[in-house]
Amino acid sequence: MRRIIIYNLPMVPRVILAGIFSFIFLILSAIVTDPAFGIRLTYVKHLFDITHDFSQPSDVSVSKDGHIYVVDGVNNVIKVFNQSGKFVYSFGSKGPLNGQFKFPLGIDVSSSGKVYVADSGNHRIQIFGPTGNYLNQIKLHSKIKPADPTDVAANESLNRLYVADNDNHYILVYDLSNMQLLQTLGAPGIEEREFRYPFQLAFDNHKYIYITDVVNTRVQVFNPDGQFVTVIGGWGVEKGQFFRPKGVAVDKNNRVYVSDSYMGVIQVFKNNGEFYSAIGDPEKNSVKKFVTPAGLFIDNNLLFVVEMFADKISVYKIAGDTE
Amino acid sequence: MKIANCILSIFSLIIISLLLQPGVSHAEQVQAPRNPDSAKECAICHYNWIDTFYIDGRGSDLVEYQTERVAAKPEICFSCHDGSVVDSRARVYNDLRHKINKPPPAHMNIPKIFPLDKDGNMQCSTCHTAHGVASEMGIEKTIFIRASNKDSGMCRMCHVDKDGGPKFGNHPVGPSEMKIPQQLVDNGAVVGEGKNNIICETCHTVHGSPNESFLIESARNSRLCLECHADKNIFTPEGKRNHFHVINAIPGKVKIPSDLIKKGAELGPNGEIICQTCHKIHNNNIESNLLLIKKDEKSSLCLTCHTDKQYLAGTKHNLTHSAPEEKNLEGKTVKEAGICSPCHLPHKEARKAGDGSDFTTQLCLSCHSKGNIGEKVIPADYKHPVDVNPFEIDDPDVLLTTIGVKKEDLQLPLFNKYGAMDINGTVTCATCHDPHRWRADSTEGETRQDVKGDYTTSFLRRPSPVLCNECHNTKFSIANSKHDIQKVAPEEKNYLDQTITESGLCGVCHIIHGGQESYLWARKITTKSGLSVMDLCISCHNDKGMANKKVIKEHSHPVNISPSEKHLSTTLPLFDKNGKVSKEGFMACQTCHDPHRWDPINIIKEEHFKVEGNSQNSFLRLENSPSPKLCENCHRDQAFVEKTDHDLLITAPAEKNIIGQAPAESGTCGVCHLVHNGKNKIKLWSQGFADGSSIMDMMCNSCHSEHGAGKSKIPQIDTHPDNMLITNAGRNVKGTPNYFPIFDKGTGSSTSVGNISCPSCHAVHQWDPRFNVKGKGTNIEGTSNNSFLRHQTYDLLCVDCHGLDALFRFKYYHDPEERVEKTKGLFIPEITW
Repeated sequence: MRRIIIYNLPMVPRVILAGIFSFIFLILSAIVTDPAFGIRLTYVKHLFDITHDFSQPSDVSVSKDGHIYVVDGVNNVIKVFNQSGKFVYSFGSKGPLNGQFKFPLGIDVSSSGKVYVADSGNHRIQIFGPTGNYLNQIKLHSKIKPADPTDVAANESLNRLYVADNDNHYILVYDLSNMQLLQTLGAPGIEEREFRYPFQLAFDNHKYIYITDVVNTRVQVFNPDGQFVTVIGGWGVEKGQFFRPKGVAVDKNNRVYVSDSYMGVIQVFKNNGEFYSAIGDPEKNSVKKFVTPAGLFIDNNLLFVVEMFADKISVYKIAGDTE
Repeated sequence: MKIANCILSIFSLIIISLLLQPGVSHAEQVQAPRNPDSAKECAICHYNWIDTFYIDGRGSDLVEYQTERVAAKPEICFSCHDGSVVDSRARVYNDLRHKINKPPPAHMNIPKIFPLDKDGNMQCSTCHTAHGVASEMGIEKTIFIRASNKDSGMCRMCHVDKDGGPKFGNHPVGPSEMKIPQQLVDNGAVVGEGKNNIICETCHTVHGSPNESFLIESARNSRLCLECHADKNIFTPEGKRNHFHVINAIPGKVKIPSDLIKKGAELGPNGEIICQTCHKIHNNNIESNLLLIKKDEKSSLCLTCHTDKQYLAGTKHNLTHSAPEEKNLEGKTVKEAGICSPCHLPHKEARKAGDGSDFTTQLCLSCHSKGNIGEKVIPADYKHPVDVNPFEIDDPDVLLTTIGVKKEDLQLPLFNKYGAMDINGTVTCATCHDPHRWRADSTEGETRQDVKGDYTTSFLRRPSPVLCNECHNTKFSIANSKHDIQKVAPEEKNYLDQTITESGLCGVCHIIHGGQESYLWARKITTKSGLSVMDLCISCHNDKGMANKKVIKEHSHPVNISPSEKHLSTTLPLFDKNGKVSKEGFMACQTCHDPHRWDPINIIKEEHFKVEGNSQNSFLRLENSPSPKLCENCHRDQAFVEKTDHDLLITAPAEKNIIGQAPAESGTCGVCHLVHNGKNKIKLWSQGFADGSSIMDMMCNSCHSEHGAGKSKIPQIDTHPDNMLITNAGRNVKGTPNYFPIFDKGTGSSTSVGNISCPSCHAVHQWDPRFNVKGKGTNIEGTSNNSFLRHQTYDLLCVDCHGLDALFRFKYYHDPEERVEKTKGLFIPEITW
């Protein structure tokens, strides 16, 4: 009967009706496949928290041998923990000298074990050996505002060191072997390749660099040649949108995890920018809430989350997704 | 048609699906937003204005529906000020700051331009707005606050009661003659417009202070105050102590009255006195000049805490009585500035004191020195030591104790270099004297200038000898002994012409101020023995002294000798020429005697001054009977005699020496040696002499004779033929294994060529040459391996001359049956080499 009705309608109404049916079909499909009313969850199992007199920690990185390096920036130290989260040692103190810090924010441990610290207040990147022995530094200069390095990412196979200069709204790219500046990515602004307060960095398996662009509420992706690739996210509070994106990490499947410190959530994207899921709480079967999540790090299937205002690093096992 | 409809539907789906797909692959670059979104720029802080909330009226899959205005909540501010846009972590979020999420105080009138939240609480937005203030010059200063804060003007709009300076009971604000230190500015202090303009933010920083009341620096350790008021610091920049009221020190005996605390007096975190203990710098309605916590009317503030000092008023130390015209360094008399002011001003020197590490003593000497008001009472050159830690005086390896009290039991105060009481400090004038109290056990004062103090007054903390006893309690066993002058010679006077009644027990021998150099000696010293400490004893123990019955004469143990030079070590005290204890010093009377203690083991409190002494007491430092511990302390090798057959305490307890002492009285050593006033110089021998061919044999035979204690061991023949020119070359070094001494026939002194005598073969103090041990107290029949022989018989000197025949020859000299040749004439043995 319905078939008769459709076939009997003129061409234009028939197209409109088909479009309406298709739209309803898509909406219904989305509702049926999403357990959290339209959102996929990636569950994580809480393993342990690291607390060690932190004062607003900001970033975390894990070495190949499993040591967990935490930037305890207000205390001007880097604290190191073993795989179980037990404190091992710390290094640094407040000051301008080699090995000292002034409110550092970001950290990365390279595959060879070198520790790169974005020593923000001292406008430099400091490089340490695995045990915190000072090795070298890169002094950052800027003609506009004093350099404000908030994060650093080293890729030894790429022989590149990326630095986010937050106040100058660009990314600096250094030759890792001689610490010479090779390239500046971006400028202040809202267009692609432009930033408003780039904050944290992460590489994927293809050596693409992911940069949280805080006030532009997005993540920008550049390829190893420094070419803009894509943006992830956008303004808002819906899934796939950000209010305060801060930390970024990429897992072995090149899924991109982005923390939003105000919304208190971590969202997962495909590397093409498509929203994939939100980190979920398996006990509540809902989106998991974190306290001001900032720096992220993924080590195999372990997710390290810096909860800044809670003064802790929470460590999770990535358990799997809902359908 | 059907096909056309299907194609149309699929096309529609593809179009719609493409429209709904948000992402693309790496190769397909996605464009960034082209224009700033004004709605976003507002909602970036006004979270509840995001379309999802504000237009759609709902939450999202990620967050709850938000209707509350949160634009200036701390969490929103922190979401940018966490370093991701601005780094205010340390300044705003780490430390103390102006209160938020709390209502203002009830009495505070908050101007309407400072909005509170819906609950009446202060929030960031109470003071801050992102929308600027038109009146302010400079965008950096104005953009985020609601009113101009020039010269802390915004602070004063609410905190009206903290404004206005001293007239309104507050710390001065506004231009000051005092320079605001750069250090304070470097630490974050803000100076108002103009020169040295004190504003609220000069001391307070509204964000980012780790200190109380968000001060630039803490006032709980007085540091903030001292930044500007550096002249009030008790230390100069060079670290020298100023003679000011202490700050940042925990009070010793002073207790801050609770009513002062109620008025607002503050203490440091550990109860320390700080600037704000005496000064209340805000809302002070008590005293508006110095912002004191209590009005100070002629030292009344001082006496509020220092209540124990009030008794000064009735003493000579109240200059109202003794020196009313005297002015302190501020030019004020006692009448003008109060009874504390002549010696103490809280932030200035009241008197010019000399340099020295012992501040407390220097303060006393500022009056009690030549040309000053206390010059009538000047400590003499030789006085009780000050600026010494009494617990560091004694050497634990030396048997002499200066301080008997344990540190934790000491009741008298010691003072540190800052003048504060400190158990780890040193002795000062104020250790013994309380300058604020004339008589220790009374509040009674003495203002008459002609009245001199004695050992019960004189501002002493205790009457003497109780005072001395506080430290030197081990010396007080002198009471009721022969050295207690009260008992044995009460009329005797010290060299200040004081009897013991006037001087006190200790003052008989020691004058604390003005004694003689060695041990502050109070008696006339008449001799110069070369060892000053010995002259002290001789000052009484001489033929004309009060101890003339106990005078040491010839034939006594040597003194003024160095044991170390004789290869002797001792834990008994030795003294240098000036009387100080020295490990490399010399023997003196006090080496063996402790003049303060009759019995080295028991403390005798009852009268014992009439008891005749023996080797168990007699002020000996160690008992010498029944075990000869005193002699043994130097003469360890000789002490092996104890409990051997030569210890007459064991073998002949009824025997007596030449002064009639039984062994129990004389001790083991005293049986044969008289330490004082013996009758014989040689070995201070205390027995008689019997027959013998040499003095040494005569001494041995005195016991080993028919009526002697050793009558059972009389060698019938005991002499080697004389004049054989026997030499002990190579065997004449004492202490070596083959030592074989030869003694001068007449003097008994050691020689290298002479005759053999008893002690040539016998070491009379050691039973068995193989074992350096004392005897067992049982009579053992000897063999040729022991029997007090120096060596086993096969190793005697005899072997040197007589070879293997020595044993026979040995018998020859002691067994008459083997010595028939004697009757036939001189037997000269063959010498075999």
